[in-house]
Amino acid sequence: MTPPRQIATTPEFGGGRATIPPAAPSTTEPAPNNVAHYLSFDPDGGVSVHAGKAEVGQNVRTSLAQAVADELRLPFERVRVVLADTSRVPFDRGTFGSRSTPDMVPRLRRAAAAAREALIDRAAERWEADTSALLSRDGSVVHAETGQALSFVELVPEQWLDVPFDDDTPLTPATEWTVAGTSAPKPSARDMVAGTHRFASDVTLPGMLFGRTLRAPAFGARLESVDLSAARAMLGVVALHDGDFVGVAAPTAHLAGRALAALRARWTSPERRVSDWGLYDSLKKEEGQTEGGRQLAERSRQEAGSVADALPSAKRVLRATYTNA
Amino acid sequence: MSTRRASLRFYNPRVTGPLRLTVNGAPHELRDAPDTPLLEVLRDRLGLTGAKYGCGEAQCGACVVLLDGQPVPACITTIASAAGRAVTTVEGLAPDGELHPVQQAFIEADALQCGYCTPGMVVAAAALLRATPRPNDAQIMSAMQSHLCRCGAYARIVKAVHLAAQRTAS
Repeated sequence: MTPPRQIATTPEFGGGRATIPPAAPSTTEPAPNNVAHYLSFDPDGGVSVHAGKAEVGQNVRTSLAQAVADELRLPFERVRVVLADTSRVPFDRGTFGSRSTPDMVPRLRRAAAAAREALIDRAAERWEADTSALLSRDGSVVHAETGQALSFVELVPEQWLDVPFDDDTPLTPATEWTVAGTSAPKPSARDMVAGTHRFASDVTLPGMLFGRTLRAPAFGARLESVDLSAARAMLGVVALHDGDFVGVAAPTAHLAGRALAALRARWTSPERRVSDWGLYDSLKKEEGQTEGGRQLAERSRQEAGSVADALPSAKRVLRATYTNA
Repeated sequence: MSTRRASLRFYNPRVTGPLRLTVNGAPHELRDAPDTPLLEVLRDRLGLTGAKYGCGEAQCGACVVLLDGQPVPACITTIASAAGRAVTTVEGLAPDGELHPVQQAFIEADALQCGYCTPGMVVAAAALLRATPRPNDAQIMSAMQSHLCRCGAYARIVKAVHLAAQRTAS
């Protein structure tokens, strides 16, 4: 068992540190399954969602926040989303294949549903009440009969709930969702139109260098020799050569480009000429020539129904050839 | 090297000494090499990271800024060619925090997804509306056709420009 790790809470929402169980840093281990991996209850009454996904235009900030808001019965505006920062979010295999919604939304829903029940249990304990009379509403657990209320902040002063959940944690049925499925304003839209949103490429660090790599002039060309001296003579430029790889780095992107242009490289001229023109035919020709090519062709071939049978009965026939090479 | 070729196109060897240019109304004196891309000075020196580096070859429009009111790709515009002229970046459209009508319309029409192309789009649309206050679809598409949106928000971008035009032209 890995020792519990220390995780810093978001400094802009109160800071502090809390101990949470370790996340599984492996592709074979199951996804982290403790509420503390995903949710923090912030001192201002908001909830921060931590997920190892990246916002790349799919508006995952909105959909993940909506799922958590639904299960916690918390207004959407009070859910914040912390993404991708690996020092703050649990392990995740990445953002790819349209998996953010089908994988992460149910997981966050289970985390939030488990959190909601744990909050209700805590309130029931304090009031010595039956949980059936308690419900989560607007950032508090309230007693339906007495009207007593305890905010999330009062219930989780430590900010993290060490509560496990699993695939059987019951979820709110889709018919009872009140937040997911509704339109929500894009959280970062204002910064994006104003040009103040910071993308990864907008971040600079002291002493940071800009890199450029030398590309082979033809597919399959091998590096015969390279002269780095002109690039290395430029102030602040670093030039590296390792096998067929040649790269330069410089304090500015422009200087890196000049350093790259100053490299004198000799490449072999491959016998097999492949270019954008004729690439498809070339790939097609090679497809059957190697075992790997044959296997790939077999795997990617999908057939259903019969084109020959369907064509005569089609109302309109369009003929065109599409390739992705 | 396409960037090299591109900068030669704008390089004026007769320019010597510090280069003076105005960015969002503020004067700047630059001692960089005259063929330094304007985009690099804006982003890395002046901290105006709104204009983005996309392709570096004037093919995507993410770096577009205004030079004396005209949209230009800052990635292949040298500081020498910008000398003595007024540069307006996306940050300059909302100098006091109050959004330009085009920026507001982009939010309302949901004309952005990842937002990387948005600054260039917004700047180009603002320039279009100054010259053509009530553009039709064809004029909008013509003005915006050198801007690529990988998310494919084009229809909503056209809608946003119309929305901004309705509010500003009266």
